Amino acid sequence: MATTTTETKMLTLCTSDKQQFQIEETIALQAVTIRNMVEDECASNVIPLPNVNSKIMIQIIEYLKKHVDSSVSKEDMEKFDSAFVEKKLSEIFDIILAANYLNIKNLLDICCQRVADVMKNKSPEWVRRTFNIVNDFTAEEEAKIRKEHEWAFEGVDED
Amino acid sequence: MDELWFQNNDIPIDVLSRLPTKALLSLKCVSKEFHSLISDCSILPLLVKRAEQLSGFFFQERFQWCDDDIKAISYIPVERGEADVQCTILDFLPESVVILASSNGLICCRSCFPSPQPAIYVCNPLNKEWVSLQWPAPDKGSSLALAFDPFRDLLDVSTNFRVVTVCQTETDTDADDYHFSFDIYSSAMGVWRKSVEICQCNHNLFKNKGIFIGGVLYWLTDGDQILMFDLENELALLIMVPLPSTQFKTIPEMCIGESEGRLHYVLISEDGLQLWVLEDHFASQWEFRYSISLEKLEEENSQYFYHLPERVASRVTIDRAPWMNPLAFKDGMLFMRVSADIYLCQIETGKMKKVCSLSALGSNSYFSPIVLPYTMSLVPLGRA
Repeated sequence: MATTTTETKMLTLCTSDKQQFQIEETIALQAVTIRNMVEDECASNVIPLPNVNSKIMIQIIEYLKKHVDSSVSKEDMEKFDSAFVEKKLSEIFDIILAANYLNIKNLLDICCQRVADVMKNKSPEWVRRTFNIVNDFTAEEEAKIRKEHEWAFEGVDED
Repeated sequence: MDELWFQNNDIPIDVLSRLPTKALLSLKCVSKEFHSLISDCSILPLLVKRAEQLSGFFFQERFQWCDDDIKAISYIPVERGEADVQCTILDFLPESVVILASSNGLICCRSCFPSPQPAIYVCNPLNKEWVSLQWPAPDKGSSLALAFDPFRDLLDVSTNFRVVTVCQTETDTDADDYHFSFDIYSSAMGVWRKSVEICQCNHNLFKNKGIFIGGVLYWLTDGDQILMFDLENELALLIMVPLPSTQFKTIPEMCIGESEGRLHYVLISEDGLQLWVLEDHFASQWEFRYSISLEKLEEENSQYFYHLPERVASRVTIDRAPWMNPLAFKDGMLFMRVSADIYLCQIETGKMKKVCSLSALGSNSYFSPIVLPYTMSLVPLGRA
């Protein structure tokens, strides 16, 4: 059998901090935004990604490389995904923004799910702290909202 | 990090729509932004169309001999597992009510009798929204069932549901034959309609009335049969229970409920606690799911029970109240009375949790109380 020496087409991605990443086109095209750019031929050899920095790009490439591999079983893929999102929330947020921009749906899904899982049993105070949200309710307003659904509340985790 | 939450709403909505309703409620007070996001109409369809976990049980007492209604309604959240005896949850309704049915976050109830103009209400206790339906022939004894399927009945503009009243009447004045007939109210049409379908049955509806699963309503009867009414095809049927009561030496107790989208049958007898799943309603075919002997149940829960097998077996006549009485079943959780206490039982493990004594739920809580499983949902009903 003749060995096929099909040349793997490479793409160069350029991140916000001007780092260049050479990756196989099949891997990169999983990102719908990149695929559209390539299909529209509006990109030259180097695809600029001004919304993604190199630190996040490395992680996204790691994710895309795994997911392009059709030999990985569904179970192993799930294992990979759950290990992949075991990161600090701040990192997850950055990946969410990048995945949203690059339009990688399942990556966005697993990251949003991860944030939801962490938030699930947390107090409003914890959420404010973690997401840098200023409480713009007056004490009376807040008490009123809390009272509204008091009967439905069960315990939340200790912070 | 700010930009994640404030640049556009798509990502926050994506994250929030993955949280259980209970968690969302407590996050409403994070900030005004959060509050409006959670109440936003773009998130509601996402929230309503998720499979939500069982939240708790509503409990209402009934007098055994007196015709009046008891107004107090208790709510027991499953996680906390403590009774929260209060009568204010449904206070947003214009009058005191008797709860009759629950379906995917909505509760169906009727005016407490006597009432100058009895009405039927469908309400969502979470957002305190409700609608009242006219009730052409108010009847305290009629059984009302609620059919609401968030996966099918939620339109962009309004929430559609159906209410079904079941009426038992004599077929022939000479013979002692009875049949059930069905009146259907559709919120989309705003009118009642009598179904041509009837079902011959001489048994009475009891305990779990109008369990709604995938377009079909089920009522437990006191005669080893389950009444079924398929709303789409308007087809009524009697389903035989998996084991007839006569096969036991003592009088068994049972209840029905929904779990994993299918009808389940819980039976407590001298043989222990058994669980079946309905496979095929035309053939009355049940799949055996789980069983635990009373000895084992006592062993697993030795802090609560003593001489359980003997006590359950002591019920040899129907006029004796059962020692263990399963009252409601939903999502693998059995709500039951044992002796004078209320327990929640995770049925697949046989692990029980004592919730409270019956007396905490009122002095009349022993005699056939109304117990409704409740699953939270923010489904809108239009403000009254």
